[in-house]
Amino acid sequence: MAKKILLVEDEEDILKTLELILTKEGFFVTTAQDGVAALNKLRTEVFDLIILDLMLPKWDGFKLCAAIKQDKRHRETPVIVLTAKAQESDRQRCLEYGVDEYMTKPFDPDILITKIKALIERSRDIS
Amino acid sequence: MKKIRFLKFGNLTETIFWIIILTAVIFVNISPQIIFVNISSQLVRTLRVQFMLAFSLFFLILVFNRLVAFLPSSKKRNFLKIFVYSLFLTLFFYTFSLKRVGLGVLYLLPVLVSFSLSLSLITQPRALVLILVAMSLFLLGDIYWGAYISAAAELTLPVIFSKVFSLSLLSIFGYYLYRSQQSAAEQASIYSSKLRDANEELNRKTTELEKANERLKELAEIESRFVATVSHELRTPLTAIRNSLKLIEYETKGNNSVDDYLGIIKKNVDRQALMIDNLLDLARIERGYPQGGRSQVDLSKVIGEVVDLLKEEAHKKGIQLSFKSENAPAIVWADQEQIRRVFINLMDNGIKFTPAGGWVEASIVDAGDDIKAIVSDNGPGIAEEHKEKIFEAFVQLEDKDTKSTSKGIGLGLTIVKEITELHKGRVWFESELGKGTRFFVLLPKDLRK
Repeated sequence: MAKKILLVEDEEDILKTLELILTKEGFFVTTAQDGVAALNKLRTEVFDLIILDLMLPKWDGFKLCAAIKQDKRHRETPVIVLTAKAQESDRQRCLEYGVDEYMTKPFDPDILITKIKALIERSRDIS
Repeated sequence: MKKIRFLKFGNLTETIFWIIILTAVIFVNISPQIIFVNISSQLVRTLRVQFMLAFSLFFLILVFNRLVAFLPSSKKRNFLKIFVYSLFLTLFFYTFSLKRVGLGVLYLLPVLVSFSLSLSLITQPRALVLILVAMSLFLLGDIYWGAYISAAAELTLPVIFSKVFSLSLLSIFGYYLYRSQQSAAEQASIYSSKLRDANEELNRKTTELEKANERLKELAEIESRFVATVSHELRTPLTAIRNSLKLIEYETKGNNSVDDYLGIIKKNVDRQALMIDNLLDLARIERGYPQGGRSQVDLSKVIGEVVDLLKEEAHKKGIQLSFKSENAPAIVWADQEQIRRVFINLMDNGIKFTPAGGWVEASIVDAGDDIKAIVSDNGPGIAEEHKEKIFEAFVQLEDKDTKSTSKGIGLGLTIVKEITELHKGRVWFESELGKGTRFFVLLPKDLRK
């Protein structure tokens, strides 16, 4: 069965291209363009992995991250954060929020794919 | 600042003046007989009148001085002063030489006024003492020669001399006191206005400083926002481009000429991404890197990752990129992202400058308290004249011999040096023209020590 990924990203071009890439790689991708939309998706579905942009309209990535890690159903879901900021403080905060991977834009899609696969593999091993 | 003194002992002329005056007073007025003078009702009367006389004279001099101060020319002023003093003295001498004691009552009012004035004016104990000494000498002189008013039947030479001399002395004291107090008051008002000005200036400066400080904070805030925004705006399009390239790659797999073009686009996107990182890093270095985010970092893992990252690019250039690890973790206390930057920049440099067929090699050596990482290549080497400035910002070596088609803005090594030093480490190199270059990065295992 195809693994489900929730992709939260407000930049349309990145969202669209990344969605296509991940679909090509065989994942089932659900997208959201802001924090609130992402929360709505999380209310009804459980994903195998979540990709988050930090700078989001409405709820920002940190808030979303905290919500995910507090939710029993999503606590074990690996989270990859994408950010264009690359500020040390952001990185530190992400680690504190229990983010599994932190990637700075412009990330290499190949590396992202590798990391996604590794994280899903790992979480499957754990469960 | 000028010190205000009643007696300016620093001034030789003045000191001599005072010494002469005091010696003369003592010489004239004191004699052994003084001790044997009978204290009588006459003496009491004399004392009263003489006090009146002294103070009223003092008062008149004060008033006169104030009036004289309005005269413009100092020559005229002095002339007038001498004239009026002489007049005063003659007048007083004449008045008190007569047997009319009752006349002293007329001076009661000026005496009271002058007394209150002198009390307010005499703030310096030294001045007060001098005045009292002079007055006592004056009185004693009178008593000694029996020339107190009621008894002054005739004007003998000693009587005239005693009175004139003592009165002159008193007037001089009075004048001096007045002058010094006046100048003290003037100075005090000058100082207090200066002090007020200085205070205002200080307040103004403080406000200015506060404003400047506020402004600096704002600027730092703006700068930080600017860097974040620029960073975001520069990185986002590149991400979209990279993703699109990846999508095109799926479609065109196997089409060699398209893959070549895609390769060129990808290479340049990578280069631009690196340049953005370097520029932003430099901006952050100039603001001072935040010290947070340090943890135990395995150098061999970081370098291994960097080698994997750059391997493809090196391969395309026909350069052998390798990592000779000792297979043992080399843990340093560092900021992983920053350390990654160091090795990306060093190896990227090596790949950039080494011609096709060459090699770039990274290795790690345990050096006791430190880990020594080495990045070497067999490129063209660094010419002697460039060795000193390769760590400077925006220095790109232009050397015909290297024939390098290097692109960049010359920030890589600057950032390497800054980051290494932030980690209390050291970076240096050995290079020989035509043979290659070896960069050494020494990082302490535990910089908390």
